[in-house]
Amino acid sequence: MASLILALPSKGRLKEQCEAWLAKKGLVVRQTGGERGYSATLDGFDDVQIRLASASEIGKALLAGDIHLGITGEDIVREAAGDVDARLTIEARLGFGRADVVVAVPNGWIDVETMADLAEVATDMRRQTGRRFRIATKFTRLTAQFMRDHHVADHRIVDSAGATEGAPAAGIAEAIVDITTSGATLTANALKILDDGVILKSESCLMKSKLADWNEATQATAAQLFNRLSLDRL
Amino acid sequence: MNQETGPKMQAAWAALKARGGQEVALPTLLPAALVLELAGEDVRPRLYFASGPDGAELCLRADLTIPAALHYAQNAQGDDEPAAWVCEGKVFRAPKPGEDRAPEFVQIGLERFGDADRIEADVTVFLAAWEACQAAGERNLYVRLCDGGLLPHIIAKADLPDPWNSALGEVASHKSALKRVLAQATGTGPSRQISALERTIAELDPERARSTVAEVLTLANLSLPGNRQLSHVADRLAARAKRAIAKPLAPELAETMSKLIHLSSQGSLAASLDECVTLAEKLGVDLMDWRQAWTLRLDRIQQEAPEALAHAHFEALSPEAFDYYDGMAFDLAVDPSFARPVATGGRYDTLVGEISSGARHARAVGCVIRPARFGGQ
Repeated sequence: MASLILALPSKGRLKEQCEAWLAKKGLVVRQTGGERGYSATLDGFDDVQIRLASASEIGKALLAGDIHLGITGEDIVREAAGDVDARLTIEARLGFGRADVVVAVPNGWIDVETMADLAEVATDMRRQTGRRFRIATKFTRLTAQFMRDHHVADHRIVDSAGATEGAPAAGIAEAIVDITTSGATLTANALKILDDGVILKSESCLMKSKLADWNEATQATAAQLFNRLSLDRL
Repeated sequence: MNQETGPKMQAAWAALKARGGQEVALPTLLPAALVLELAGEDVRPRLYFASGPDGAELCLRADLTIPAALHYAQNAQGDDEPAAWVCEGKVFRAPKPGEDRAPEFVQIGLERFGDADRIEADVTVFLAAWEACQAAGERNLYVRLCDGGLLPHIIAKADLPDPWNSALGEVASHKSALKRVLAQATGTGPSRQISALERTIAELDPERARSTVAEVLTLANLSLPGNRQLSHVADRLAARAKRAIAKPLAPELAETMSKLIHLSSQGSLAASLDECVTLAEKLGVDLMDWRQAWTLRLDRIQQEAPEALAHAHFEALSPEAFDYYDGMAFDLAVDPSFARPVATGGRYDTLVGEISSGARHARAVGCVIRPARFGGQ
């Protein structure tokens, strides 16, 4: 019988937080290949197969229906696909892995507080320089949608692989969209968040793929697991 | 080639070529940054990206106009060197969610550069598109004519009070930005409180305003990296404050502007064009030369294809999606909603300059036809 596949983050603080959350519910994860293995079992749930993967791989697998359940950040799945709600449901918000996806500009832009200001500055810049206003981010999909929603027409997204907060100082972009927890990194880089510039308040979530191979057995296992986790929804 | 569209496309292609033009093979792979810079981020979800071995980010062409303008910018020996090209090939555009079509489809097009007689070139391109559709058996097409240059011209010449003349002028070619500024000008947009600093800056001359802003930034230890300089921040702060404390635009002026922006009558073309003239007059702008140019275009079309204007209407602004059309623009469609036009075209005099960063300039007008949409598909 095919077992229910639950994917958990494979390393770092997120892994520890997931294990702690499960432990609080009386569920113990045991890695089968030792500390460096990528599969595990869940005590008391023989029909659950645990896969350990990176947060982004878990997001992709949930969206593709390759796994039944997974814990990853909401920002990751919302960035990876446009029709997230058709592909998965969020079963529980776990209260850790908190990160806001925000729009930030240099703090010296004292004439820019809102997205409406940003839209005007973008239009001004294109008219004055013939070039579009650049926004550095790794969240290209979320950014494009947010800019459309706020009628910021004359911008261009510059894909940023890392150190996005340094992009304005490096002259790579005028503004950034990035994740922040306390805002300290943004402040240290002389950036400020726009008043209405929060794109997404993200945290780690337990998600259920709608596209996974759900049969009677996996449904029943998930129901038992959710019961144990004190989640009444399935 | 699709069996269904094959013979129709051949007929359309022959008709397009009959209007004259050298067959040109255009590049399929384009620098992604260039396409996004020109067409805007709204096209990103439609684009297919590829990486070069050197790490260069490329994309497959999503239309024929940008590669044509690029090809011209790279090959023309001088500004406005005359060229007329017919091109045929696949373009690649990801379907929107729920849209049922192939991600790649054939377009055929005519692009003309450097014509000294703009009106005659506009007419030639319109007729080429019309005749290509007729040759493919497309009857009873609806025609939408627009003018992307009209609003910028009117706003530049209009008797509008400070600061609304400059505020509207700065966004004259952007439909959504124009609506936003007009809402501010009439006091119907979101109102905002202005700070003491803004109020002070609004009353200073530009030089003093800049030094005041510089002092504020130094005192507060704020930094201003990148392309936006002190003058940009100070000038915008002043402009924003002036708009916030300015008297709203007189209701009759605002109403006239709004009527122009939304002008889209389904009635006779002549009546719509006359309405533009009347509305512009109320703003102190004489459009007689503009009206005369449109009369000439329409007369020439009437001479050669009288049935082309049977179901035609005029709109003052071209659709937002094609913001590089800065003069006459048109769509031909089976359906009066113009949701799926079989042909589109227009004038894009600034595109070659933008593509070449000002190294090459050329008057340009072109059209494309989508044979896969023949037969109402």
